[in-house]
Amino acid sequence: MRFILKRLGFYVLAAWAALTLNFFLPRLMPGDPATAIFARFRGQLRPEAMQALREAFGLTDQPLVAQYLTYLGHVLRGDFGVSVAYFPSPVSSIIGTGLIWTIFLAGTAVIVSFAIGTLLGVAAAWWRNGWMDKLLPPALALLGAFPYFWLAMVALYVLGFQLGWFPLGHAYGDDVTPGLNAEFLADVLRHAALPIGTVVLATLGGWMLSMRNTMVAVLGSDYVNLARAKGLPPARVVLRYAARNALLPSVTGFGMALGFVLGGSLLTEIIFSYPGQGYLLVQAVRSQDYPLMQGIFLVITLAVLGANWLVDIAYLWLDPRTREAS
Amino acid sequence: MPEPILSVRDLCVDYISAAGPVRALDRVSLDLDPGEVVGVAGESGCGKSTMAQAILRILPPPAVISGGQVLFEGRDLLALSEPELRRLRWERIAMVFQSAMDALNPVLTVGEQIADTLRAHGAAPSSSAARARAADLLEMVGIHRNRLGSFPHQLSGGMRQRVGIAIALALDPALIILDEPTTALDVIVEREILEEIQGLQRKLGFAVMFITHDLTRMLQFSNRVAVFYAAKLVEVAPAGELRSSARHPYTQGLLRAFPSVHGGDVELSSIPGSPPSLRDPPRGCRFHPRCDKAIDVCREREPGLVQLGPRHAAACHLLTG
Amino acid sequence: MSAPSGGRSTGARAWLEAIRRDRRATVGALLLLFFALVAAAGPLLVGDPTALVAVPLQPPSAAHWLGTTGQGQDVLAQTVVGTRVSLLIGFAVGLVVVLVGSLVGVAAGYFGGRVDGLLSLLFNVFLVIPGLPLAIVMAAYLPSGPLTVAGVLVFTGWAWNARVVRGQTLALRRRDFVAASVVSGESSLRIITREILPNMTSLLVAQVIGSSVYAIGALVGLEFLGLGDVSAVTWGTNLYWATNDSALLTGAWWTYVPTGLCVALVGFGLVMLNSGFDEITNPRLQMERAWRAHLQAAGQPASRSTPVVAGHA
Repeated sequence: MRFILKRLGFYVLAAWAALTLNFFLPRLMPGDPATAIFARFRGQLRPEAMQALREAFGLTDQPLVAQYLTYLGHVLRGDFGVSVAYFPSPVSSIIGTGLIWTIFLAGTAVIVSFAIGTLLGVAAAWWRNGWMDKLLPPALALLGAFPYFWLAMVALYVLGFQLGWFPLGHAYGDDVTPGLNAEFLADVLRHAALPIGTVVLATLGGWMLSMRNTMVAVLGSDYVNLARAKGLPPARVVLRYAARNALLPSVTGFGMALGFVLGGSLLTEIIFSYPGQGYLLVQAVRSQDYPLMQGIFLVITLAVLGANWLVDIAYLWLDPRTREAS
Repeated sequence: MPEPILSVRDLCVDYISAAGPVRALDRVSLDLDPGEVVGVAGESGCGKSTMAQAILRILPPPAVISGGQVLFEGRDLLALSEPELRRLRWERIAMVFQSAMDALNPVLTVGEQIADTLRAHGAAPSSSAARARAADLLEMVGIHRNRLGSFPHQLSGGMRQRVGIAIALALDPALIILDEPTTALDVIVEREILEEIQGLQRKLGFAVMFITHDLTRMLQFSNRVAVFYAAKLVEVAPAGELRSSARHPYTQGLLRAFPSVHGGDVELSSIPGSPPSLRDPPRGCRFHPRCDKAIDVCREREPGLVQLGPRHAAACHLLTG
Repeated sequence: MSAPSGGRSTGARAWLEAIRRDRRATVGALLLLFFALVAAAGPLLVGDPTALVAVPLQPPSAAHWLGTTGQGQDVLAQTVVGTRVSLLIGFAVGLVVVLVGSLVGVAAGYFGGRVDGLLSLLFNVFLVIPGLPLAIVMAAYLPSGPLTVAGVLVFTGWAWNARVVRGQTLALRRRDFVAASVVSGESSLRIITREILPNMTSLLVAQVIGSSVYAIGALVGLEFLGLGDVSAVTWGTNLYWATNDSALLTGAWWTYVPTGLCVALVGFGLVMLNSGFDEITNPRLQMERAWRAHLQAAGQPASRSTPVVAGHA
């Protein structure tokens, strides 16, 4: 219990750090941030938009500390300001629509990749020097060396464009009605296959290698030796004694890798015009919509922190040693 | 004379490395009678643990058994297939590891780790039967049965060692190998556990191979003692006879280094020097560089085992002619 | 691991030996050598990558081996010229990341206590905040250019190295030879530079390689989004212009496939080099290799139980 609370405290701290970074970023620009931004938009925005922008950044004439507190107050109320490109829509509503798709895409990809990669790692370690151990790691390493979005481009071209096996973009077709019906869900899966597949392929190698290395170390431990000496069937030795323990460091690394994979999947979304945060982010960058950019960054960060915390809770369940009241 | 239950004959074990093989066990022969307690003594690296693990064939790479036989109840363990080995392991020969406290799976309860042994060998008709028997085994080693659902980290070192013993007893084996069973425990717990094992041994009648570097303890608890040095067997004798009339200079040196069982003001001394590197052992008798009685032939030829009594043999040139 | 103080077990000769002996490291080294040559000499051999030389979106032909871009530029020239800048920035970032990260990591691991607590908290926070979104937002605010991109990547990437180096420092600090130096009153700086760091060389080299892989990939990603200097010729900006000119929709695969392949091959080469080095720093892997060779020579399969190979050695 204390473990969970301690971790929560850490994530709150990290969230605060992200918020603070976000606050200072506009002030990074050379010169007075207010005039710098406004100079860019002069003539393009109506006075109300300029005012909204000002407020969103807390770029008032008040001292820095006051601006900071106002900003924090806004954020804690879920008010990320007003978008410049989609004026006057508030940033939070624009983000809201895309968040689900990003979570669906990245979440599914990460879980699938972790599951398959971990199993492959267990197999490679158990059958040391077999083809799985010798061929797969370099092959997957090569796959993982390609930028995610490049793999997406190739996949889209070959499997979508040339072969026509998969749709060329978006989350679902125009001919289906959104809702909890089988037709819609099937269409969503069809559209998600390539994006998820790309991210899975790109990240598979990493999980496999780390699991394999941990397994090799665990297979040499005393308790595995005893399990073998006890005459237990090999399946039980591999799964309940070796893999179950090797999983623990992997899960620890899982949380850290989440943010990294999410970054890559954002870029993948762009290629597939997937209506998630990545797509939104690139539009925001192109149109220099700073409130939207920062809002997306915050939301993504909070999502990753939340996911990390969930992973910590899962770890609690996996490792009996953490369950003790310390 | 009963047939020995275990007969190790000229066993050789090598560790393969890029720089060539290192012989960790060199033509070692040892017999064990049913129900007998044989202690195996020697300094670290002399080959005692290697022999124990070689018998069960659980030595990890880069170990290779390069010669000899291990006859157990008439069958050569070195000729068995993998499935046959798996059946034999634990059902007939079990082992308690050095620091069994680290040999327990951290994510399974101790009850589970006893029960899965039973289930794997078909010794329990159902999981509830397995659990019941696991509880009995815990009580047999002095742990309350409500600890069945505890995880290893929740138990003390001594209790975890007892769990290791319970696991070893699970299938009623004919031979139990104890590899430094109490090295990592404090003296009081150590004595308790050894007495526990002794009681169980007398009750259930299994043979014991007791490996330790603590000669005093070994003499207390063994029927016979075998002394190893630098991958070779140098002396073997009944415990009392070894204590009173050890014939190999190394054994004599060892005895002088350990406190006498009966107390008294015996001056302790250690053997000068240190054990040789197994990669490049001395020519002739391996002990000669540290032996104060070495003669010329000791530097030339390896001594063979000389029979000194019905159950007493030693490998020393001073004992021949 | 390595011998204490003066005995560095992995000098330059050991590295070269590893490259020669391990097939993966050899492949990696050859790949990197190839790209280094391209980066160094390539631009002298191809034409001006920004010149409009032919009809846009031409597939590969004898005149233009990799075809032309959406604006009529030679793809081969662009790819070759882009190699130099991309590799330089990538390796530079990788190096700086390790410098910064090691500084923090060693300080945290060596001094322990509150210093460790604070520094660990710092890099743990950085580790958990998603790097690419932060990099994107930062790069958007700062003036575009290679320095910005490099700086942003270092800012978001140093934490992992700090964590790894801290772990290693902790392990080394507990070893006897360090304890002896501490007791004999050597200054912390001397201990760190003479006892701890030299014993981490293999780790640091592996980290530089790993960080460079990350840097090159992240660099390409940021430039692809248009956050670098889009008028410069680099791998990332090449991909940016390719998508800008609708390479996907027009099926002009030659405008983006070669660049992606280059990025992947360099990354792959670095990873292979690293896994080859892993063999020499991990003695257990070496041990197993001799054992397997011995078994193979005796015609015996490697089994789970200790194998029996008859006859004397």
